[in-house]
Amino acid sequence: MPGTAKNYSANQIILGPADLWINVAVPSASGRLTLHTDGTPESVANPNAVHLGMTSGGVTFEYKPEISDFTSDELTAPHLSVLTSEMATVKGEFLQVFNWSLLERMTVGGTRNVNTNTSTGYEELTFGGKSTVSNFSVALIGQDIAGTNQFWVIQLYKTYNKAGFNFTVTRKDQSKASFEFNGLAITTRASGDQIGNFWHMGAAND
Amino acid sequence: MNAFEKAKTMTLPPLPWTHEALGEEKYCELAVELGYFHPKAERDDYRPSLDPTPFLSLIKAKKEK
Repeated sequence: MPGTAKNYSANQIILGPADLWINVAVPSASGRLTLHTDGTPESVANPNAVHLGMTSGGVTFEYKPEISDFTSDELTAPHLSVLTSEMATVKGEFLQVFNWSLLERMTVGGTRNVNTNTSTGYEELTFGGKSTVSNFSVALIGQDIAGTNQFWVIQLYKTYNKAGFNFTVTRKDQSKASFEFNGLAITTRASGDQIGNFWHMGAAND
Repeated sequence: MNAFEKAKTMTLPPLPWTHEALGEEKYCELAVELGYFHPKAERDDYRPSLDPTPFLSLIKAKKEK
């Protein structure tokens, strides 16, 4: 009988960079984020999308299940495992801390104020006193290494920035601030599609 | 009835499908009937744009009439 084929494929790796977008649209059931041909969120479908800009070291996506194992006195190994909770996060450090549209999202309790007067205008962020957490959708989009017009997307439908906002100002380095978008469940979406999705364009890769 | 079949029976508004453009009532109707989510089960400041792409052909078809 023959052996089994090995699976070495240079087209099945992910190589960055990728771009992070906040405030993108939520897809319908069984739908996916609509992309323009250049891999950015399509602007009509995503009119409020904001690009996070540069990061210091890329972006980390983490999906972390918590599993409970059930054991018995009679057996040495668990006889049942159940998924009891799921955590999905997108995190990193962003560099464009001098962008007030981003700051408003990054500071969970912040409010952006703009005065467009040409001589006395300003942008400001006020904070303090809010107890609510505003949520929004984020999407990390990167290029498929196998094709120039093929992209992959990680989207979290409902998030907030768990990391708050902090940065150091020094003459020796550019300021940067940590972010950690924590995925929450939209309870009225179908089970299995409540937090987000990870998909790529084109045919199946396996 | 799936969301696309349901959409055929509805009057779909022009783009964009943002909460600001649609207003709360129409936004909630689209979000629920077309399978996005139930906004009333969320806080009232969670109103992300609804991606209309699966239904674009129906919006255009109705515009041409």
